[in-house]
Amino acid sequence: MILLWSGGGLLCFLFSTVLAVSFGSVNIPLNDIWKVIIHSFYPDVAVDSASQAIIWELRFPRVLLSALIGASLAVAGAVYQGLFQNQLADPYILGISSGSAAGAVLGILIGLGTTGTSLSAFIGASVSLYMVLYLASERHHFTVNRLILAGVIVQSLFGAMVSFCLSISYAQVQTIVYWLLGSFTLATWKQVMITVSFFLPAFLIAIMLSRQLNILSLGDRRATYLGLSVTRLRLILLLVASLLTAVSVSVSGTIGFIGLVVPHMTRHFVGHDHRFLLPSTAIVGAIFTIWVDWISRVVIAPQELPIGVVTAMVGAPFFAFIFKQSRNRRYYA
Amino acid sequence: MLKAINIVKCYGHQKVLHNIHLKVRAGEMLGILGPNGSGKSTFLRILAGIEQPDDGEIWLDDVRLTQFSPKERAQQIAVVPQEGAEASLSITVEEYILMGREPYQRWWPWYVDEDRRLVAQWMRELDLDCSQDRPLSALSGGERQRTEIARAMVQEPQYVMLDEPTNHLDLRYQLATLSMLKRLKEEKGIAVIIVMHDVNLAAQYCDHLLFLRSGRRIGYGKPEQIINQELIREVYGVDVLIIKHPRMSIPQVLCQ
Repeated sequence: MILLWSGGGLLCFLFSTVLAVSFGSVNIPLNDIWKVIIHSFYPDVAVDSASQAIIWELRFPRVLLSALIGASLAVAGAVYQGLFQNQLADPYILGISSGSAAGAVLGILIGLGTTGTSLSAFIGASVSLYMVLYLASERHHFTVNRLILAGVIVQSLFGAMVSFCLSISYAQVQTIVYWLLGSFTLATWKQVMITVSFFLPAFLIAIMLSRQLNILSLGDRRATYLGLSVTRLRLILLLVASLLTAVSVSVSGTIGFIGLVVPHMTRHFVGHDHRFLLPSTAIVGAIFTIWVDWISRVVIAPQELPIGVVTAMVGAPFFAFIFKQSRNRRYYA
Repeated sequence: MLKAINIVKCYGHQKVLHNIHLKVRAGEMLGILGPNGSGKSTFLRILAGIEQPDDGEIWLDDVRLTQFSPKERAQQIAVVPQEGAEASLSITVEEYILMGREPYQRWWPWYVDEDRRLVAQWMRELDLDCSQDRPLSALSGGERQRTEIARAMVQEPQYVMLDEPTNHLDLRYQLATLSMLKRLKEEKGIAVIIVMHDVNLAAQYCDHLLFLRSGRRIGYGKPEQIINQELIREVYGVDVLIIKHPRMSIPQVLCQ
């Protein structure tokens, strides 16, 4: 049964990837896509150079990046929801998005390029995470309430910094707002590689700790009775989820809604067990984001909608439907 | 053998446990009694190694309990806490009992067949095999308590500690729970440590009793040797009659 589901999920993912690469402001026949893929490994195969450029340099990195960011945000959201046992938790609950936004805005104002802005966003995210952990720790322990409150404090501080920067920078307002709403427009293979190299280890650690995450939902004391080092486990999971969030935000801006909604949608189908939930939510997050990004680039083509707008517009009604249906069901989170 | 030596615990400036000594042997059932706020539950948590004393030590078979890793400790000591697992959890009985195998797990997130076999065995033993797929929230008080005990038993511990396990249970389930614990200790040689309120039931089922008041050890010994009017007056501040159980040679407390 598990094999069937995971096989189906992977097939859906591959199917979505190919379709999203094929359709866009310029439609490319599926045939050409295979040719370009083969060409990248065996340069002897002849391909049309325009299709090659669109597929290999623009669409593939973009689709893969959106899948990776979707998976990262969804896994981070599921981990935070399990960790805080709070259905409202999302990847931005600890204020990492604000820290990263402040970093990015500073980068844009100073005039750093795309890579520089991503780096400065990552530094902002790390600083905000460090501040949250520093504020929340109490004799080397982290309680959920203190973490959430520390998150609120840090979020408002960096949020104010972003607003301040916005109000004094007339020339770059458009760039900043665009960054804040999130986008995959400038996706490159380099970004894909960087994101993969963070995503894979973080995801593996999250899967390895998924059983312990289930036990944490029984409460700290019970988890301790069962031999878990609760504080250490919570810290590792926090770092893993925060790393996934920080990388996502640094690469593509703050894309809302995915980290909140996708874990909920997935939980509706696979249940509360994090050993099933985390891998499924990664696949659903990837597929969801591929299609959301596709919508964002075809609806008013050749112009693009900010992806955050589309995630909310597509996600909210779907989520509302599931939410209404599942009102009598209770989950771990 | 589990030994508590000179245990002192303070919360802020308030001393809640005063120099408590205790020995618990394998295959023994010990009842910890005392009025509300006498430090029973705190003492139990310290015995279980979950809370650290401000002074004194717990020794487990000649090794300090602090030298055990959390996993090793959970392989030796299982605790059934006072508060039940969150009633709203949709987790099933079997999934919950499997969590008792946590101290034996490594990095692989799935339980192995041996874990499942042990869980099935204990569910049979405690009459839970019909409820294995039911959610915890659908269980009655008695079934809940048996689920908790099954979860503790799959930890394969040497010591089981229960904090007021008979609270909220009717008389039938109280007797059933205590008989079951007595049977477990006799068959498996496990030491059972129970915090409880009912002096008469404790006298019937426990081999030794420890009486605490305001964090001080007031009495310790076999029920027939230590339960008397003076002790009950000193511990609970009430005057009672003590009679002999008509069938067993143990004292029973009657209100005047």
